[in-house]
Amino acid sequence: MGTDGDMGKAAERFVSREVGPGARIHYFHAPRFKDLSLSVAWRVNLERETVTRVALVPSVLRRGTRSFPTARDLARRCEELYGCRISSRVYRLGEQQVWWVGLDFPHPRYVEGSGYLEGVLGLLGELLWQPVTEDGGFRSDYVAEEREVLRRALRARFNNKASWANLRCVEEMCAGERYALHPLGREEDLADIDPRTLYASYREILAHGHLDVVAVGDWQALAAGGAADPSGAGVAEILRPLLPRTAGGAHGPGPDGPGGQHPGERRPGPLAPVEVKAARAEVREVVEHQPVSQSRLVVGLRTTVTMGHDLFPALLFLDGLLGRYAHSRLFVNVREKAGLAYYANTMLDPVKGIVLMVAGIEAKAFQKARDTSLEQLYALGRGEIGDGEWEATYRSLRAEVASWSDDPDGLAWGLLEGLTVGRDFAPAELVAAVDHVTREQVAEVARRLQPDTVYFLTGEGATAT
Amino acid sequence: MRTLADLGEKLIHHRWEDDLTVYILPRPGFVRRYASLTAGFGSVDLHFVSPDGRAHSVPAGVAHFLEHKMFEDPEAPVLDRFARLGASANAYTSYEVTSYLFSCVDNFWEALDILLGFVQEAHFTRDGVEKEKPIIEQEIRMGLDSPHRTVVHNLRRLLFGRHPVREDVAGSLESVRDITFEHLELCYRAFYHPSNLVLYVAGDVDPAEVLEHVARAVARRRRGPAPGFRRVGVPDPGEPAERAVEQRMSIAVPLLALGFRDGAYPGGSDLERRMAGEMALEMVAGRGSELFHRLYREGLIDDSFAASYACGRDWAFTVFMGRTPDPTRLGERLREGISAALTGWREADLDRCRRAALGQFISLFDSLEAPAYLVPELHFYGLSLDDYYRVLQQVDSHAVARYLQEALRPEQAVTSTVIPH
Repeated sequence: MGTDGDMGKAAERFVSREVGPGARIHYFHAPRFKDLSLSVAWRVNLERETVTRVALVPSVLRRGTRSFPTARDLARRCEELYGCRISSRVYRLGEQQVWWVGLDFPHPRYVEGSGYLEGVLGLLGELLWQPVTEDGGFRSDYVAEEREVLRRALRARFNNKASWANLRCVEEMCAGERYALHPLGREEDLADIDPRTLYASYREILAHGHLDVVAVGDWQALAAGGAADPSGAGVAEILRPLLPRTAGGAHGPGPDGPGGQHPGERRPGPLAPVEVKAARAEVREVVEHQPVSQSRLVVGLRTTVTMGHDLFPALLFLDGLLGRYAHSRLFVNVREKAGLAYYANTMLDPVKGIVLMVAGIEAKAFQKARDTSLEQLYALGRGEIGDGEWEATYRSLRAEVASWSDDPDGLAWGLLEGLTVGRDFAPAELVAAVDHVTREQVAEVARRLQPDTVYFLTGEGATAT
Repeated sequence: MRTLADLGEKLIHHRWEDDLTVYILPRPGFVRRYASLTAGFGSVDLHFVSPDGRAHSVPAGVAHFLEHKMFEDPEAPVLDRFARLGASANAYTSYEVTSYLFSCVDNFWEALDILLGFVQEAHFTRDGVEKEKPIIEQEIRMGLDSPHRTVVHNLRRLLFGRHPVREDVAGSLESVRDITFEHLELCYRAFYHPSNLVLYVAGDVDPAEVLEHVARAVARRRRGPAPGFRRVGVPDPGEPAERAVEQRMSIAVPLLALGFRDGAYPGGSDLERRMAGEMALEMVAGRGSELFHRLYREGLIDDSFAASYACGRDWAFTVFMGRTPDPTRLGERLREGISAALTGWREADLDRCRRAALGQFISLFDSLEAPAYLVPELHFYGLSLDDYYRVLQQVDSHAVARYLQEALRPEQAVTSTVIPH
């Protein structure tokens, strides 16, 4: 079979180093990529009082830096640098909010011109640390404009019915938890945000956020030690200028700018641990009506088995049997056998321990689709697992986990998930862990995955139960 | 002029007489391996003539329906056979091609045999065709709730009065009901001959080994010369009958699409036109353009705004689209802005956009999937990835000026909006 059997890249993993209080650099050496990839993640707690401001900061930063004071100047600079892609967004990770700045660009060996690498990293440094300011705050016109853009983005969530249904189910299921806060924030907070309070929030993130810089690709070739240095020290030196002064970098510890702080003040606070809860005793059903052509079913389930748990590989296995793949039970039973849906699958949040079973169905199929979906889970809990589905899931899962090494963004996100739960899984280790999962463990995890909230979005006037 | 070799890349290519064509893009060090088998048959292929001279017309959505049904196999469903190997299989239909694909880590050769087998041996049944209809109906209904799909769909129907590109790839609820077993069989016979199929393989593979393996598969399955069906073009009136369409939906933020049909389109094999279009749009309406900057600051657009040039064998159109609080105002400002931008650009703007496009081309190789969409599509126009890279470097200001003058004529502009109830 020639080169078959090369499962994962066993030697490949992140090399991490602490570079200051609450600051780390992680490097994944992968010379197969033509791009260099860099992620800068700042993590803070999801809080009702700050969520919207934290969501707005990256948008305002994207509007301009000292050398490139408009978004147009920034975009043109990126074009000159061979279309380097810089993104800046917020995400939710357990009970934490992440401001994620991503950068991808072709490796210098493939492009012409000098000063290219310095140009790209310099641009990122400015974007993080040197925003355009006025009167002790961000530029007021930028803040006013981005407030409206965020307002529209919050409202536009309603435009996409599948993700709206998922969002509503999670809101209902996790009401009262930090996790119920959407990472983009709340529309009602927008009116109170002004250029100074927002600038203060930005400095707050820089002073107290947990910082992870994640590099993937062939960075080593650019380091002083070159290919001879497997420790990643040389790569860290390349990236160090992006860091705060307390981590040996060139910035902060607060941002440069009005009222700059003194070195040594950066003190990241404790991050909220993931709140893992059991499902409510009695399943709750929430039905909402909108004039839609297709109804959306979302069954929200909870488990106390999360990424940090020894049974986590079994949870991945269960998710695979239930709804992750095209051979999974939801697709086969809800779509192929019953013809109830076009899509029927699961979505797993491995950090929070939440699984959504989702399907797009006809209004009248609500009960049948809901019961069929839950019955699949219960059957797995009773240990009714066929040889064919076991084998297919085992192979699919191994392939999927091994494939993470081909996806720089996926690698970086997986690393961050692991940091959030305090457990680092290299892809190769997880592949090995999947090998040891037993049917008993899967059945046990299935029993520990319990329905909490059933959400149904359906047409006006349609009756659900 | 740089070549793929300068990037350390080589796309290996072989064609068997009256049979398959294969392209191999080695990706040393990648864990996943990927293959797709693509038929030169898509949603626009609704009218054709058989070798005996008979004309055939089939309902919209037939290529997509056939894609679904190729996975039917009474002995062992195709997806199960892939799954047992740990391979993840899928398929998609576009305007001009239908593509079947899988990716895997282990068991590549077995999965490749399944791919070559199921696309070249249809097993669909009358009963299976009827059973598929409710599933496709749900797929279409899902699209009916998408404002994004709706606004573009409505736009295409304004842009094209008769050309099948006006229809959705999946067809409509009505057209799908009319599709029969016989339609699928006819289309399969006409367009799935191996001479109209292209295999694409990417990953950490030895190209010689792939060629040998495929050669054996070809030898086992020789089907003789191509059946000789011929596509029939549908002449389309040059001027849109109507200028604007509006639809109300259950949404919170309106969407606008402003479209221009390219009446002077030279055809799909003219790569220069496509690339000139893409670069021109980046220049005129991209993040670095004056127009984008102005509309953003006026609060009329946000990051959802994008301009794109969609083109195929004998059709092409440009779309400017995004969420907006005020579709009417955005429509007006866009038209003004586009008219002004037709001549108000400089060589330096083009240089910048070309540089960005060259960088994106390099990034293409980090994805197993991205070249997999491009390579078969180019193949059916008689082009390769080398041509693509060459033209990308060559596109000049004349080609860009020509695109801007011919493809964005103000009198061709039509608008489609979706607004809340």
